[in-house]
Amino acid sequence: MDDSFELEYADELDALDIVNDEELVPPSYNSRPKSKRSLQFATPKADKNQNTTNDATVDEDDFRELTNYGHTLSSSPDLELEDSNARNRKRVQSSPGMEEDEVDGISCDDTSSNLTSNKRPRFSEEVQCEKDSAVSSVDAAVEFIRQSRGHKGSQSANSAAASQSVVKDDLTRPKVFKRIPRGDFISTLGYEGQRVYMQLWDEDVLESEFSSYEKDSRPLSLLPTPVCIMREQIEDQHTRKVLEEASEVHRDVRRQMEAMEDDGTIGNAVDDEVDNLSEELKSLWVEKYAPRRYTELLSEESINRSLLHWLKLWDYVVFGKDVPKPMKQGMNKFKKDKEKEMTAKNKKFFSEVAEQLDKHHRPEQKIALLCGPPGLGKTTLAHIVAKHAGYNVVEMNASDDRSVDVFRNKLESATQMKAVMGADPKPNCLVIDEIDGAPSPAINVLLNLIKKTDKDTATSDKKKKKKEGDLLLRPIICVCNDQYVPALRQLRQMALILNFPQTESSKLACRLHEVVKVERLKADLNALLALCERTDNDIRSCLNTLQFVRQSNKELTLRDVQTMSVGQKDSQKSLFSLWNDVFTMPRPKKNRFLSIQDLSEGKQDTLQMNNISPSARFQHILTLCQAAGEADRVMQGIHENYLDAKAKDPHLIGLNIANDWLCFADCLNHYIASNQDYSVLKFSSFLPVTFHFLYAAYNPSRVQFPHGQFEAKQKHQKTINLLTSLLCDMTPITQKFTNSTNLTLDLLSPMLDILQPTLRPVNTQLYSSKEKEELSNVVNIMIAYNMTYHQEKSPEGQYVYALDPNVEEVIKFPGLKQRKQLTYGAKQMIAREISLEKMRRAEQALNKDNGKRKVLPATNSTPGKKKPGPAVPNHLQKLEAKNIVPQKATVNFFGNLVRTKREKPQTKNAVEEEAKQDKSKKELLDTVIWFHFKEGFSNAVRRSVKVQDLL
Amino acid sequence: MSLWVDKYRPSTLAKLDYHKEQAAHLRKLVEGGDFPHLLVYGPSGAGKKTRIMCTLRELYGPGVEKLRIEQSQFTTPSNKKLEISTISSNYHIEVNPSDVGHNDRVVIQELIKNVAQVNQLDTSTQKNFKVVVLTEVDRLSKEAQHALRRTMEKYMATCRLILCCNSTSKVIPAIRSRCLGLRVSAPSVDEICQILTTVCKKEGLTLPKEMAEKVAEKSGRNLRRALLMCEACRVQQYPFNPERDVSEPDWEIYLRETATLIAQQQSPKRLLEVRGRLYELLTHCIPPDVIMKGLLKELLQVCDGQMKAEVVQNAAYYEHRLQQGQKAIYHLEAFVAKFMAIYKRFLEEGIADIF
Repeated sequence: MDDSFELEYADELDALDIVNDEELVPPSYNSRPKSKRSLQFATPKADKNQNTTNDATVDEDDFRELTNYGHTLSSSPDLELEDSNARNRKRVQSSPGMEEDEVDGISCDDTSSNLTSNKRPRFSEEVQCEKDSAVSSVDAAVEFIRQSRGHKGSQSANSAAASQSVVKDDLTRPKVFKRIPRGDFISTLGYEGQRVYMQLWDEDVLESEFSSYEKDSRPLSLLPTPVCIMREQIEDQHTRKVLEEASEVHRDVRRQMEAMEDDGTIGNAVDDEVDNLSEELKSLWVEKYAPRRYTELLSEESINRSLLHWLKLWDYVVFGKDVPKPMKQGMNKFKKDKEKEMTAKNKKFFSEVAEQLDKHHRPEQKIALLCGPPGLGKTTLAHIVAKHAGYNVVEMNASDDRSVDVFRNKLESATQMKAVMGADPKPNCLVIDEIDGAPSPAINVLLNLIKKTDKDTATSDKKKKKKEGDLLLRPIICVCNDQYVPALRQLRQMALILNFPQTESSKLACRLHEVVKVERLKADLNALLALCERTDNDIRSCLNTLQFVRQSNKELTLRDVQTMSVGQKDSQKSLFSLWNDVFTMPRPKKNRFLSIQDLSEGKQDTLQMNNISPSARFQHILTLCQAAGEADRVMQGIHENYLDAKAKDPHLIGLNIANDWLCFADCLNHYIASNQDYSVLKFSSFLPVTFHFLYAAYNPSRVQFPHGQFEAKQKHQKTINLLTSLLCDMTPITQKFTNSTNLTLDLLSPMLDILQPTLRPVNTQLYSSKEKEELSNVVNIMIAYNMTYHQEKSPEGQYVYALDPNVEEVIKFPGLKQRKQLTYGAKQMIAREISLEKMRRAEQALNKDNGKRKVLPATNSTPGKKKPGPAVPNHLQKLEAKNIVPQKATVNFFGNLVRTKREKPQTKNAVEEEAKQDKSKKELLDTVIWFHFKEGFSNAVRRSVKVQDLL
Repeated sequence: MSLWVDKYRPSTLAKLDYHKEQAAHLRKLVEGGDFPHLLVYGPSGAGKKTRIMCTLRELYGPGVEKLRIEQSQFTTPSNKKLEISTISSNYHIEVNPSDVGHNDRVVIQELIKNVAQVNQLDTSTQKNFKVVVLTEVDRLSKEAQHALRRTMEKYMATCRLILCCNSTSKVIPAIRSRCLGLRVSAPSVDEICQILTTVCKKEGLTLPKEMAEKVAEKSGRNLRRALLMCEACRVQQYPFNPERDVSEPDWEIYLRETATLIAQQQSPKRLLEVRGRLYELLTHCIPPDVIMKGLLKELLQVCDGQMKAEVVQNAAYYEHRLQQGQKAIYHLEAFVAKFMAIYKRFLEEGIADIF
């Protein structure tokens, strides 16, 4: 019980001890010996007779009277001292980490004092229990808490004083103790031979003490703060002031503008339509705020006019009005005037609309093709203009079925029919939306419709009246995103192409502002401009974003726009722009839309730098590549262009990294192709990123389209074809021992040398036997390797003999010396010899064949019937003379002896066999009428002449 | 009358000029009756096919020399028609399955099945098996090789395989273990000289010894090339003049020039130039590994001692990558770039040492 008590309250009691000490000898602080003397009474001659009565004495003391502790101590000093000693020792054992200053112990920190206040009740409780156990513990606890609080107050007052004194003469605090101090200590002897203790201080404690001392001391400089800091402060104040003023002005302006808006000074066409906020949320803003009239169009004025002008050119055909004459029935005066004005202007500035009309008084360009990125108002323009010009708009788009039949049907019904219902039937104007997605057969139908009319008019006037119905007499407006789709190629040639530029941001932002105002969404022009920029001036996207924001809150701030990921399209860029981006260092784009809040917070820098920071560049290129796809093509483009890029790379380290990446990407491609594992395809997007960091420059050279690989592939294929054609007709024995690799590496090059012996340019008859041998050698080799000379006409108009197949191309390299060539005559001669030799061999082979089949023709000689030999082809059969003619040594046309190979059947066996066969044949032949055609056979005219006879 | 290469090609095992011990082994194999599958490998121009042909002749007699070319048709499981030309006699059939690219598996299976299903008619006088010769086995796809190993065992009764390739490194171990490996090493320079002299003697020509040595050196121990070079020399000039240079194939000269370009200057611009030349070589059907090897050989001549190791190591690395990859140009270029970097560093260090 004692031990635990001591353990728990050691701090407390220590503190009390020291308070006593101080109060006992307040002046003794100044002089060390005196303090020692004052503590003299507590000698370490500790008796061992400590007992529980000690506790009782303590119990007796009220805590308030603890100031008189010294006196009480005198009554039982030894015990008390012994106690505290024991406590100290214990404490060191139990919590060595909790070192406390001997002096500062009074002003022990809050936690420890809390600890004491919490623990005290228990101690007192025990005490009470001993004194009179009747008092309820709770009451006692409450009481003692109160007491302790009171004590704490006095204590804190005390501690304040004490700490002050400490600060004042810190250096003079007691260094020597009579009692054993807490913590490490050294014992020594005092002046008077008594034992004293000196505490060993921890270094950390000393240091912290020094530093705390230093803090309070006056700095060395003359001014309390350095000049530079003061200057900064002044500047800071100044900017803050300026910013405040600016924001004030900003607020004023906004207030004024709002006031103006409330006044309704800015009129708005759509204003009156909007009444109810709940109702408006139902419809899409894109629909709701679409322009209703020509004047409300946001697209570029010139485009609008061109289209309108083109549409007006149809007036003669459709409405029977003169073209230049402005029309119309249901139009108001204002528009008419404007129309006039516009057409006049149009003629001046926009020559792209072909003015002249064809025979049928239709404009030259039968259709108009509007193209541009999405969200610029192409479809809207088409609709508005057509309506404006007095047409009834018929729309076809991608959601309709666009098979050929349906397409034709619709096309015809739209161009040839007319609405009869309704009060004011208008002629149709067909708007074909998203035509770039239509299948090419469907587009061909459209093309035919346009072309057909042309042909008809050209061919006959008679038919014209009849065919008039087929003529395209109504304007067609096509809308597409990409005008370079292959299916549209032909259409483009006969269309008025109107390329949509981007809408001006300011114009768009103004319109958005109107919308925002109507919808009571708080948004300043700045934010709207930023939004326009974010979406690449896509009207649809802007409006959708605004509506989205409106659903959730009532304000659109600049910050929202910048942090929002809405309004970003997964737009695909062309490969060229991707390559350009890879090789171009982005220029720091100044963020034009800085809000004042950002400025005041000093975010200026981050915003300005965000598009050239490495991570931003990394992300930018990566997203581009992922969107682009076609990893292989991208890689080729990079491969062909990166060596032209200007990059400082003196040690060629970047070059090596680049090449390693290319190798890696190539291996990746191979892996994908061979294993069909497309999961690793994602890594190929990182190749361009690497190249971007290695080779991006501010002024990159022009990116060339990569065709090197393609060309190389083609050439390679050509070479392979040459080799295959050479190989496939070689004699078997040569083919067995060659393959294409052998040919290119070892064989062809020396062989071409071998094939060019020196031959005299004279007739072969005059050659010596050795020369003849050489020639025949060449011929043999060339035949064995399936080569010959072939006459060709060179581009210069000369006739040359070239090898066929031209293996010379296989082994010839540019920039090396030309191989010696045979003369024209020699080549001609060789070519002739080769063809002769080939004929000879063919003849031999044929002879062999004939020899084998010798029996067959002979057996055919049964009179009156001709049985076709099963193996003899028809053409040979015809040429054979029958045995009717008596076999003599025949003489041919030129009087030469001709050996005939037909012989009479010699063997009996053969005849008998034949007879057997004949029987079966006869049966077959008897059944039907057999007609044998004998007429017209003449040995004198038709006769087989062998090549060998002529040679 | 034809090229010396063809004309003086030995037709029987007894007539072979070198590796006579090996020829004796082959003869014993044939005589033993139990003929195994063979895997003949060795560098180009060492006489692999000549030996195969001689062995076949030993097996079947002169009948194997009556060759004919046939076009065989196969249909892949995906109904694609494949056509491949085979060279065959009555006793054997030779085919290069890699001609059909990645469909080689079908060809191998079908072809061997066709051949093996027909027994030899007259087994009393002939061997009771036919031989299928597959060339360029190292270019076979992995799946074709895997298809081959079962087929080899299944039709062992009626059919033997002779596989022919340059290196066994691309032949899967399963196949290597099923065959009797037969390495035909390149003839030594002396052997080539010997052969050249005998051939010339038969032609009635006198070949000076220096000339023969020169040709043998130039040929790089490739007998085919040596004979062709010799014949080319003979056509260009006879009697032989040992002082005269033996003409080399254009591609070798071109490759050497390329190497010189690389050594002259190290810059991206030069690399671009080199790329053009590499393309040129590739389009002339020079295999990329030959280009790599040739470049390395030429480039090593300008290298310093310790640099050589580094260059060779890199060449090996990129050659390996080349085999793994698809398009040779990237890897060749990467090697050239690497060499440029190494060489440039070396030069700069050299200059720094001077000052």
